[in-house]
Amino acid sequence: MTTPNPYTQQPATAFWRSAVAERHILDIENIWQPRFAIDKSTRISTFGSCFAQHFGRELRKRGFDWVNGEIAPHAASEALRKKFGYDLFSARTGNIYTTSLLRQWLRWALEDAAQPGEAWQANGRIYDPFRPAIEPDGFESVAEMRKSRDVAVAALAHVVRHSDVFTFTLGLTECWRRVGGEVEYPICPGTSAGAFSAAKYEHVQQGFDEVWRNLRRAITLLRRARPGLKILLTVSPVPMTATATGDHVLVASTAAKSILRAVADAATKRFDFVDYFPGYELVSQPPARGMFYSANMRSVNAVGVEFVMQTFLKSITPAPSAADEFIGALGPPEPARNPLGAAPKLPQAEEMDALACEEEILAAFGPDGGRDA
Amino acid sequence: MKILLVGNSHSATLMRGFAHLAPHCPAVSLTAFAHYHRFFGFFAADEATGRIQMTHPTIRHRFIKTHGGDGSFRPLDYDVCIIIGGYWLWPGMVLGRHSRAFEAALVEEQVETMHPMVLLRKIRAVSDIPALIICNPFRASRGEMLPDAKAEPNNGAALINAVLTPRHDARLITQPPETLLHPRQTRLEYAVGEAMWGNWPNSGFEPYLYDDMLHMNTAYGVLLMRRILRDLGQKIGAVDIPPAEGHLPYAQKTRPGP
Repeated sequence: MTTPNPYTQQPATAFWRSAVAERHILDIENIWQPRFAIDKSTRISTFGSCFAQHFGRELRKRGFDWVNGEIAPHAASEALRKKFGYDLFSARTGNIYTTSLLRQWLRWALEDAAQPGEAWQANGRIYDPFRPAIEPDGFESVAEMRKSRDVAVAALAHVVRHSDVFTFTLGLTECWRRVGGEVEYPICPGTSAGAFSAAKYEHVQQGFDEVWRNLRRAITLLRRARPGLKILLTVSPVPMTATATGDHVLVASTAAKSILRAVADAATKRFDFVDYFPGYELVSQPPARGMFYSANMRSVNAVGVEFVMQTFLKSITPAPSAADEFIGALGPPEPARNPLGAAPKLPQAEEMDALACEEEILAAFGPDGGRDA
Repeated sequence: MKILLVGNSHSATLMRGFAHLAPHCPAVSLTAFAHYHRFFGFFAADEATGRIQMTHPTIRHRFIKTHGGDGSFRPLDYDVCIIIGGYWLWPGMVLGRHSRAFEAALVEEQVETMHPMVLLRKIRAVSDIPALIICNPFRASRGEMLPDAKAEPNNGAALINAVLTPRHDARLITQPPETLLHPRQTRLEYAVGEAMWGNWPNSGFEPYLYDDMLHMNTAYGVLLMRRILRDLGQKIGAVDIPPAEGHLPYAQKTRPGP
């Protein structure tokens, strides 16, 4: 006696042809079923790679309860805030590209672990090795730098303890560390500031095991500080700016994203309070045909960001009730009128490109001197 | 001394304060061009005549009604100009919490973008008379404290003036300390509250808010105007400060009727 093979029981979303090939990317549905409820009363924090900046900003714009541990003075313009790293992430940590760097920040914030006393210098100013772009012209003294970082560390602790959902965007697997230790930097020393020394700093290419181990430890720290905290992972669809592995950057980037994606998958399988939102797939995979990337084939354009956010919002919004469907059947409501009479303006790709990404400085060391950066 | 005052609804308290002080400083006169909200953008500087014209018909009508002529003014006819209006600037920043570079960038941004600069640039196009800038007072405390506020001296105005004075020959005048509960909150006695705009059309040139004890609070205006006049070198005798009654129930306020 034979039984139907398992594929006969699968939904349409399980089949490439019906779920992907026969649809336009913008029509792809049910790509994510959230594990936990998220609505506008959910306190969400965002950290991680550059793409997390998009996520946080869009949540804020859409009226979500985005947790901000380091609020800029209300009088400061958006441009000024951005320039000084406010409102980019839930605290002024700068980009946290790796799970090991996340763990390092969390150890400082939640375990009161000692922070290295190191400071970088350039042009007579002091730069924070762990947030090299947070002050565009540097600090005036080491003491000011340390004080500023202490504020960020305290803000991170506050954010963790006051979040319902901690969102982390995994970005890189390559990193730079101090030789013989665990101290990790978000950018290669000597690129934006400081001085490179092969005797002091080493390049580390983290594999699955290391990335996964650090994520687990980070999750442990987060849940210990905030029991019940939900964690939402994403993988940045933004490819690497440069690699120090010796591989072609496309190969290195693919390897890195694959590892990060696999780690995110492992986390969702291990922990029922961890979820993964597939923004990476929506932007970077074949159905998108690269349309969500800017001309440099790296930055995600405005349409891509909007598509990701629309998918996110659609996924977390409960299915319409019968009453809603009845109202919907009456026809579309009259479109909202723009009081200025102009069509709503989509942000331009150039605007969306303007993320604060330390990693992008690496492009300046390429053969064309950073023309793309 | 001839003082030119151009400002928003908060001009009212200063005008009332000056009226209270005027008998004690007869050599000083004050001419006010006041209107509510933000309207400095409607002024236009005529470099040929040295006059500042109001281009908005409604506001020009009000100025004509209260001052005659074409409702314009010539800054060089005055010894000093007071510009009132705009959001709080310096106090939004808790000093020491941010880097010095950020503070400097914020101050730079605030000086160049604050609303009074819209008018000051036009005045500077036709004159170089000294200018004093007064921002809107802080909200009053009704028992609650601002969550991120600390009762500590705030020298943010000094940072602003360090840029504003050498660059634009103007000075930011801060709220009288005796009217503050702490650096960013007004005492309830000087509260802005229960504002009703219905009396505007009947109020002549003077911004007049029904039962708004800051706009109409003579005590606040006297305290501020007395300090300004003294800073300008005027000798003022002993002046009784009228009672500040923002904390009292409406019925108990000895306020002038509408």
